[in-house]
Amino acid sequence: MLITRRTAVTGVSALALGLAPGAARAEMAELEAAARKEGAVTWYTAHTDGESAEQAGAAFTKLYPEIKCTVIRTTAQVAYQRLQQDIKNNSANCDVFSSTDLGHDETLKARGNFLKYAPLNLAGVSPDYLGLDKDGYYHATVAELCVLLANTRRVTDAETPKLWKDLLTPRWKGQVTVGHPGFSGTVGTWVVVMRDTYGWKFFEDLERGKPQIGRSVNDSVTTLNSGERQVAMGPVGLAKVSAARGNPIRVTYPTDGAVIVVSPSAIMTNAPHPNAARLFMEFLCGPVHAQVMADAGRAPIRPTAQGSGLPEGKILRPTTQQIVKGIPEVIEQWRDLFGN
Amino acid sequence: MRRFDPLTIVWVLLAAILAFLVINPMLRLVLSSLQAVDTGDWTLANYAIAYGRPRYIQALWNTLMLGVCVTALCLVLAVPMAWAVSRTDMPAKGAIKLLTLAAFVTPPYLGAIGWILLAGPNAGWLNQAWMGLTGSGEGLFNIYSFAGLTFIIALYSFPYLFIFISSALDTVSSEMEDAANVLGCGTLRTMVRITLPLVLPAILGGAIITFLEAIALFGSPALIAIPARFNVVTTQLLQFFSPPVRAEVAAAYAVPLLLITLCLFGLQRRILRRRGFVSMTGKGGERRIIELGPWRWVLLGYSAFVLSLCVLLPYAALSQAALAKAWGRGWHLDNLTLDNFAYLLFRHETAGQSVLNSFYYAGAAACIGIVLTLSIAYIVSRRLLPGANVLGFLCMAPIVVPGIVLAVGFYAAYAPPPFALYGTATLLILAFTTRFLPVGYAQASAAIRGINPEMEEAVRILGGGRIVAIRRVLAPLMRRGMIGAWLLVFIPASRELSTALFLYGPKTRTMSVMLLDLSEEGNFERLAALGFMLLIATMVIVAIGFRFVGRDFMQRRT
Repeated sequence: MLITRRTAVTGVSALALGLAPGAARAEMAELEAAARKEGAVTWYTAHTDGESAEQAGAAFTKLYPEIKCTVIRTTAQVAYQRLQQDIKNNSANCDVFSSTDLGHDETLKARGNFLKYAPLNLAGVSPDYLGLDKDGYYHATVAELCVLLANTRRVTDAETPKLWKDLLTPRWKGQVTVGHPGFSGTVGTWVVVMRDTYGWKFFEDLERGKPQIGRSVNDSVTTLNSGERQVAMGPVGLAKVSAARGNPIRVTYPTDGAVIVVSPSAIMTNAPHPNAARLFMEFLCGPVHAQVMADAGRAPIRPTAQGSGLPEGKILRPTTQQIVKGIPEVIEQWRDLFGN
Repeated sequence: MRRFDPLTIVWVLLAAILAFLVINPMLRLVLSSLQAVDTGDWTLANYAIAYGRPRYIQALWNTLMLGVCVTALCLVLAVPMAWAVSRTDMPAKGAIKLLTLAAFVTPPYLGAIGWILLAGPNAGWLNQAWMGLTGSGEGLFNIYSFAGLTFIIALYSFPYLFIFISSALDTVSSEMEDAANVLGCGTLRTMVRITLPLVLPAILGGAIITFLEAIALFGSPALIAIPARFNVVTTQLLQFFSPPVRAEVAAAYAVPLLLITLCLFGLQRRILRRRGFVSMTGKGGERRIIELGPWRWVLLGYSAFVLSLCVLLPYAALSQAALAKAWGRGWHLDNLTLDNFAYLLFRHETAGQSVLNSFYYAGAAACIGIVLTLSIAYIVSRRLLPGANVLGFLCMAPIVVPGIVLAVGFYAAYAPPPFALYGTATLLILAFTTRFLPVGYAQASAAIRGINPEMEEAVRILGGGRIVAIRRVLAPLMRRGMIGAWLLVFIPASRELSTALFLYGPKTRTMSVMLLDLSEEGNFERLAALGFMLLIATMVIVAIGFRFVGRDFMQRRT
């Protein structure tokens, strides 16, 4: 048999997707063929910083050069707003939607905007991340930890905040930076956990310390890099990548618990490329994406990815219900308190 | 009985286009603000929600204060410079004009990023320098404040006023100033009592435009006001577009802005009514350059200072950031990189496309706008049809609509079915066309009025039809003026953010929206690099424009 480029690519990608042999492989080959015919997929994502999102898109295109992947990376609330505008105007643009705010997925599911699909690649996903949606419409595709960050040039090891409440001390007045729950789903989740753990007073005290409010959770990392602020709540992934590039960032896992944000993805009912969307979901649950995320410092959902695994120590994980109810509440509370 | 004039069809066609571009979106804005979203019943509930919280009213108040403060600051910046360039023997006028042009083509949000790099309270260059010099623990400036926002908006709005005032000053002859001098007035007193009052219409008109621009900006407030923790109308409008999308509440929130601008124009009429501003008598009044002596250096210093604030310093900061791995580390060899440009051009899926989109939409809007306004200006000035003035009025009407309000109107009118234009290039092009229709019309009608109809009549006496007259006489004569007008629409359209923000879709992202998306992460290095790509492309187009029309295309034609 001649090995054409096409069969070679299919073979490689089936391998790369980590498939079980037999029926599943045949099913996957069929899906790939259908997806190739569609030739494109549009991904609204808030899961990572822009660069990592572009890397994930590029990894997909590398597996399937015939399928053009359009990556629209924004904060979760902005992505959701645009999706809502699309839906309201009956304009189908988005194939796969990846928010960091579980509430979005619950709402969209209830309104029938999601297509139910169980990726074959769920087979290799760590049990911690399975069954995020009991109805099986959306699936966890990455996780991120919210931790304490500090600028190493201005903050010594000894004075680095170790507990979340350390951010509230007078030492850091005018030196804290955080994102905005009205934009970032990750920040929203963190705010909900802090509120439910320490009460809203935590934020009233934070407000007195005159923090700089960015939009994305990733904004904290750039603000620390520039020296504009000294300590922050920020995402561990981008912080690690940034530190590895020589930026002055120190990551500290708070002893009272890093907050884990498990982020879901789902296929839209009106996806203009339904097969490419399914294939992209397979990709998001598969080993290549897991490795891209591990390399980007995130917590990948597959235990086989190199550098995966959560750190030792306490981790706070909110329930779906806590997030769904909590985020809209804390956005309003936040706007009233911080005025923006 | 009068014969049916085929031009009537043209009139109907143009009127229909203007109804589509101008009347319908505004009508839909007002109507949707008064209707319940599900039932379509008449209601004031949207207004109750839109103004039902202290936070929302505070945002409106902040915007009004911002508009007033920006306008006042712009007057301080623009009036002395315009006077110095137009009327005095200040040296280096060419360089001052060129730098003002550079300020004019700088998108305000890009300037804002430059100033974040300069005046970020802890890491900004100026504050670092201050702390280094004085040993102080705190910086001197905080860009993340109301004053900071006012300052940076004014820096990039004052060129409008400069253009208005210096164009008007160029036409004032020296006779009245001479009379004042003879009666014992000094130079300063003459300027304040005689010259400036003569150009009051231009100052008022420019001030109103400045005010409107300031209150309609979205980019600078998003960058400055969110960290500074206050809201303005535009950022609040965006919140009404957050889920649950409440476009009708946004409409209700925007309507008062429309009323405010209408009041402003009414006020302008009252102030200017029954006063004589005739300074062009057609009797060849001589214009004499005022000799300032050593004061000319003071004025030059002032102009150079202002322009270094809005061009030189921010551009230096932006170029450092665009070429840096981390801008906070400053100028070091190991901090230099071209990677930010490489990332945008080669590793980013949509950045390159967004650049092309911006220029495509702006170019298309400029072409449509010029053809449309030219046809209408021609019909109006040659009195070809009764009721032509209505068309002229409609062309100028969008001037009272802030860009973001226009976008909300366009969204209400054309995003949903039956038009279903949401997210299409068509919608963006049409919205940009409407937004800059007044600029195009002012240019077109000035260009046409400048051409004596006798030349066309000569063609017709010699047996040529109107089409021949237009093609062989009018078109060649107006070429220069039209390229200038095209540029004056193209440049602002290529960087328009507040209109694009509500209308674009994933495939029609413009560069301005792309910049905003990138700014969410605070990644100033790449933002600066993208900004430079925009600037370089704009500069190339402006340079081509110079070749055709000379530097004077920035002059306002009245």
